[in-house]
Amino acid sequence: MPLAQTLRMEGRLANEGHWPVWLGWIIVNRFQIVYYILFLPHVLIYPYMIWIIPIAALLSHLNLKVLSIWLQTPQARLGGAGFTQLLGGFAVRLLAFLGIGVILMQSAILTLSYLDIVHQTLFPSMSKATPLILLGLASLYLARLGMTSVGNFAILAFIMSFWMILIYVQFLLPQKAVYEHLFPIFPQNVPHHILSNLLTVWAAFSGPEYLAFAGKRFAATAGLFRWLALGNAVTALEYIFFFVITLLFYGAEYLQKIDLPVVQIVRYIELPFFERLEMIMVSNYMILIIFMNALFIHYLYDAVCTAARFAHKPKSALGLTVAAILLVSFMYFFSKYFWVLESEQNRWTTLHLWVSGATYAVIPSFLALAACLRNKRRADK
Amino acid sequence: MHWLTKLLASIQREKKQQIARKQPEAPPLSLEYIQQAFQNIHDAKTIEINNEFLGNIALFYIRSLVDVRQLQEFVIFPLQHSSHTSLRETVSAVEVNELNTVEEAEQAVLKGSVILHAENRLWSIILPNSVSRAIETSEQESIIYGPKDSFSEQIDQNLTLIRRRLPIRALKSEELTVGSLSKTTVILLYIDGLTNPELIGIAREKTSVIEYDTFLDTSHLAHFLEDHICSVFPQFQQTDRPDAVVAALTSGKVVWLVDNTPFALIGPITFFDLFQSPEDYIHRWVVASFLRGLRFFAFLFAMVLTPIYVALTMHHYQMMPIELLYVLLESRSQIPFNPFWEALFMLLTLEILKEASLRMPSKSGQTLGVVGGIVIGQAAVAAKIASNILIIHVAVMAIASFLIPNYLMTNSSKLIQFGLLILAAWLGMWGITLGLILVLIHLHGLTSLKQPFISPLVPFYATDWKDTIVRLPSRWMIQRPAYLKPLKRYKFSKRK
Repeated sequence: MPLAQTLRMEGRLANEGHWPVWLGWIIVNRFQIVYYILFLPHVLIYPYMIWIIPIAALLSHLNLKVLSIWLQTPQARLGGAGFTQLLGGFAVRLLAFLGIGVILMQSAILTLSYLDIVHQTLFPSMSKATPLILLGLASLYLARLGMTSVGNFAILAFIMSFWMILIYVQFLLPQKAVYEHLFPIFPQNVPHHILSNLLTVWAAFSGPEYLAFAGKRFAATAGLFRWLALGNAVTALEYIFFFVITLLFYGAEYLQKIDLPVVQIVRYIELPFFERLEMIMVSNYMILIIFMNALFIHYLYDAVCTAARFAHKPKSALGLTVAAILLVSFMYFFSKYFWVLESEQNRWTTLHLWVSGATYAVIPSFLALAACLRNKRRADK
Repeated sequence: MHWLTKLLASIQREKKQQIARKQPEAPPLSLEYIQQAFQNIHDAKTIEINNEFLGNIALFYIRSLVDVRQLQEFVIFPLQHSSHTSLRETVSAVEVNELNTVEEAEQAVLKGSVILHAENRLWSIILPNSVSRAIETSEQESIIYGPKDSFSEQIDQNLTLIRRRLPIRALKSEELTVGSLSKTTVILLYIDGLTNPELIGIAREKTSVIEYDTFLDTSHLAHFLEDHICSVFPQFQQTDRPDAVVAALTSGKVVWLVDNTPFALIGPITFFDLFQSPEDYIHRWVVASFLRGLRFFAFLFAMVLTPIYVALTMHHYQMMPIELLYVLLESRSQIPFNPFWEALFMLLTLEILKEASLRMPSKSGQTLGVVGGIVIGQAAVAAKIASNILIIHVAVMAIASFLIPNYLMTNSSKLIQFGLLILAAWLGMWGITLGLILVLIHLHGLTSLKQPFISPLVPFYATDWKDTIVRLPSRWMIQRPAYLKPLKRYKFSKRK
């Protein structure tokens, strides 16, 4: 089928309450870069570390293949009933219970990390509670439009955030770019901490595992893998781009000394009317946080309902509001009691890396394996 | 079980009979009854004519609703002098319909018919007094090149202007009546075999279920057709240009014509439709695309310019280059208010001036412009109430807002601007961004006639982008808007 025709058909289906299959690449891409794009170049310092990105991207690519296999199974297309069919009611409730913890933790860490950047860049004296509540309200406003609309909002989130890459293109050009900083591109000795760096970059590719629970949202799953892979490839290119520009501009020595190099580099841009463009850039990243939190509100609602055996009831606006209040309250108390000292923040960020990496690796393969075994057993019978 | 079914059926029958008994019987159709029904109406007239062949004839009508000259020429004169034995032959120059019920007769009188009692029966002769202005140039959507005619308050005349441009039998017009008191005639137009039947069904249903007493305008009707009544964005397009209506019909939309209103209502629309002008299709496509892009930019500019000034001066001084900062500080050095109050004062003053100039006679309006623009602006700066830079901001913003072709949209942007101003004063650039994202989410959730409001962006329709922000050559725009799901996709007649 020609691409234009596919897009047209998919567009119609999107209008009727499904995500078009091509939306997969935008969701994957925005979920992956939501936070890591701002601080990843700080983790990757030396030029030869550039190879970690394609390696992690390749592994992520394979993982997405597994994810697409799972999404094509009948169980994935059934939604909650499919999970019960596959794993049994008790196991699903237990996993939903665990999922609540993971969602709350991931959402809190990503949002609070973003608010830290806002705090550092825009409002050093302002309390975090105000923007936290406003972000929660905006996310709830989006979430109340329904899961389909939230997924479709990825297009707007992409358009509103992807253009920012153009601001950085000038750092690839001479005067600002020092090309010697790119060398040595291959390590001269055995590099240290390569595995921890790989884990960090692998975690930076995480996020698409949440699609494993949205199988019934896609209008069709045929050809889904190529769209997911496209999103993954775009993410890899973005990571490489940002790593290269920060490396060319700062050099490895200075890069390891500064926080948030992708944010700080924008300070060096001067326009006739504006300077300090990072203030606009950091503000603009809010759209990704709102998009992500709106999806998390839906997932949290589903997880709570599944754990409490209310999954059969239709979604209500009140339920979503309660889920949003739960999410924001958790974030608030988390920031008040567990996100105060820098040592605490580092500990939680490390935990977040491990959890993200683990969930991304385990969820698609576990579900795909379980579905394949079950379907094979049924076929044998 | 059979006896139970019979019992239930008999109970139902009895209920129906009871309901029928409760309903008052329709009064017998007679001229006396009609005269009685219209008593205390000073211009309700009865004329009696004695014709040699037809016997005694009575005419009843309301003088202000009937074309008296035509009545005299085509009805009274023939009745007085004709030697025909049949009524239809006597008044053959006009349409004569026999009346069967009292309701029919009452409606006929109120719509400008003459009730005629002859041959022991009642007849109606349609002779409405057509009070209408001539076809004039559109004031709301004036263009330099292209057709100049526009709609008037006469619905039939408006329909004629459309039918002249679309002489096809597939152009269907369904007449509906809305308003229990106003009895306003609404005509629903669409092209059969092209417009999506689902859209026609939604439009028909939404119009027919309206329960309200008075409809005087298309905007009033639009309020009852909208999917989202709390939104600041218009969800239907209003136009007084027949060419714009025809363009909408041929793209697969539905149109409402409302009697006594010179505006047609077009739906469904998208956010991007509100930035389109009929002139876009007259210019060269590159020029048209540039102008269209300029309108979008002006819309955004008008919304955020003053809030950005407030955000920069209240929260982010460091964002300004040092030379510009010196100019700004000097300009603001003697202003006793903070930038928020300064901007709010100037914006409200501007809105008051704009609103006053709309309500005043045109000559006084010009004076008001001079007074507002020069005297108040200069005086505000001299009195140290507002800075020079803010005056420039407000003036540029005001001019930019006029680039939006849709007046309702211009007013919507004003309201958003005030919201952004508050957010800018509170949270600076972050607040403005938050406000814009909220607007975006709101737009994302909107629908017009159940169709997504920000299509072709979400849901994404690649082909529709040829005529959205840019306007590509007409030859390349071979398909109708996909979000409308038209039955005929292609504009070229050889393709389906």
